[in-house]
Amino acid sequence: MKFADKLEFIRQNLKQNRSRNFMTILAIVISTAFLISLASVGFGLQKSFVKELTQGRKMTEIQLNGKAGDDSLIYQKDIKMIQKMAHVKGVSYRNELMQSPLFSIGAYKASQNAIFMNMKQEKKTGFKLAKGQFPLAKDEIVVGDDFAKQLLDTTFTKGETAPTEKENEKWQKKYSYKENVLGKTIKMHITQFEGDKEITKDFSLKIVGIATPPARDYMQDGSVYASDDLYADVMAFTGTKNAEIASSPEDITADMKPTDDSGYSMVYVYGDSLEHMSALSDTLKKKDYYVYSVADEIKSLQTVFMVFKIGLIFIGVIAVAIASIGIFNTMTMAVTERTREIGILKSMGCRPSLIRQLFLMETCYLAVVGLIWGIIISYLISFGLNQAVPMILNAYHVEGIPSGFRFSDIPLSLVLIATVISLLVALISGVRPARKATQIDVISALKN
Amino acid sequence: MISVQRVSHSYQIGKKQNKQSIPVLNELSFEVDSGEIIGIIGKSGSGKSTLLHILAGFLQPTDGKVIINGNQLVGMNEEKLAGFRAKHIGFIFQNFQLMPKHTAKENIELSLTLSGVSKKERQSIVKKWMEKLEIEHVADHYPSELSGGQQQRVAIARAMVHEPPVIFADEPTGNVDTETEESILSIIQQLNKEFNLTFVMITHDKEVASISDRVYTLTKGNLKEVDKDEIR
Repeated sequence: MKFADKLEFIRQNLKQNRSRNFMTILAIVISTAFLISLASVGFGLQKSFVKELTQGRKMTEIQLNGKAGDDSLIYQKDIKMIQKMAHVKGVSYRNELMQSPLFSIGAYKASQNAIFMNMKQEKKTGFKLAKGQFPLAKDEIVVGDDFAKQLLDTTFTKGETAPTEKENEKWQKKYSYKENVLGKTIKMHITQFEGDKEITKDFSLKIVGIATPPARDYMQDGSVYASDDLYADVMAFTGTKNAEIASSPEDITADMKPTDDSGYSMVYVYGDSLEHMSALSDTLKKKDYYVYSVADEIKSLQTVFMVFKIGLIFIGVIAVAIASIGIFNTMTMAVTERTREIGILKSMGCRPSLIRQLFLMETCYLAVVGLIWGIIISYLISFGLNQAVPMILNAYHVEGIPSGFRFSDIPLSLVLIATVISLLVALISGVRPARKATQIDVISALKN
Repeated sequence: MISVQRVSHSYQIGKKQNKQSIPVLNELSFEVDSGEIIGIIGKSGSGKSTLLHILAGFLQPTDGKVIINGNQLVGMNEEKLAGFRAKHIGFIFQNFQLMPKHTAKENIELSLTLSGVSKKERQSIVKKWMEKLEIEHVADHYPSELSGGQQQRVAIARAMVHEPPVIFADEPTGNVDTETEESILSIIQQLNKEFNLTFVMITHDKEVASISDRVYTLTKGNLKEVDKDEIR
């Protein structure tokens, strides 16, 4: 029997009891929609949390916040060793000054973080510029995207800081530096004490690049990124590591003095691919480094969500199993009602395997129609959920929900999981009626 | 064509403790040649339907052999029996056994559909047989909309479309009036001559047996060939 004829045969059979078949399909639609919608919450929340976690962060980055030891610092010998490790693409190391130097262009001034780093390594490991280029000389710097916004006109502010966050925003709008800072020369004022006297050294620095803005809207980057050659000059002036301010030269202890390898507090290791990050992270942990990576965080988050999703799918499967009772009943009734027809077919030479196939196809037909509508309705529910939940939360004054946060998401994998589960459960429930159909005795059926 | 060799059959009745064996057919043997019309007549309960069911492979005999066109039916599995029926046998029933939700045309088409014949080819074969049996005007009618005679013509067309060499007929005129009975018997004779078809008919109607080349009587499970003039 040709496939098209089988479909036509099934279609004719299904027309025989429309209301019963409709109710069976409705049960499948509801159970499938329930399964998908329920699990979509797990998928949606996971996607949103992972998105929040990874936004603006590199998945192949491992942050080393130090090493178990007296001073917790990471030294050049460590970096060289890490660079030689398998699957390490590059290592960037940074030092942040222990004072926030004052930066100025004319009357515009701001105290900002100064971060010193190896520019070649940063370029290699993916530090991105929005404009300009990487510094080639030690008096060239890159500034954060919000640096200009932090520079305030001191003729108006009188060197004061805004009393509140809101006031600061107003000041930034009114008094901040409005011109393009790229190509401008600024002064960095580094402070140290000489006896009771505060002395300052000015470093003239040319802004040659602007860093890419942070991924999140609420984050600001007003930092100054300078090369580690300049860091040596700064330490030479202050006489301390990280330009730590000492109340007098006598107070500078041996530990505070800079050395050839003063150690780094911020080291970033970059892996060559995402799949090796977990192994790389484990190796570094075994070597006593304080490791933090987004991949690690996501891994534990994924585990939690995997359990959550399996739980939701399991509950959904119960609904599908209940619907399968309907399929079983419908198909058993169909076999009973069509006993005589099955007998006629058998008398005409219809093979039992074909009869079984026709009944299983009929079961699948009901399941597929129910499944398609179930998937469509699930997407509508998911859309409605993503629209309604933020409104409900807003109505209850729940804050802190990021924009674009999705509570429900139906990826293709979920549709495939639901399809496999629904078809499998439908087929299982259709097997017994189909087998019953093949076992019908021709003589008894024709007497029917 | 058909060789029935020492076929016996008993029905088992009752539960395990009081199980009883009721013999229905007793070592029947006969041969049917290609193109013959064989009539088997007998009273109700004589075992004629059981014999026909065994010949068609619906029932496995307790003992003996049934060979049709070189195929031994006894011991054949359900799948093979179905394949055998589809190729070698056509069936005409007393109560027509048409599919109630299918039109006359669809009923006739059914055995071709089951055999995987293309729609275009099916339509042309069905048209030919409907014309031959003069039922083309009721092609789109459902069985409930047809007279007994029309239903039996549809059933004959359905049995014929795949051109089997053997037709088994179970009381083919049992549910029709005398006038229709004559036309049905005339069709059977015509098909027998035109296609050299082998017919095995079981009936209790002696008129039906009159169109047979040979007639057997079945009495209490025993078969006996009789002169057809003798039974009139």
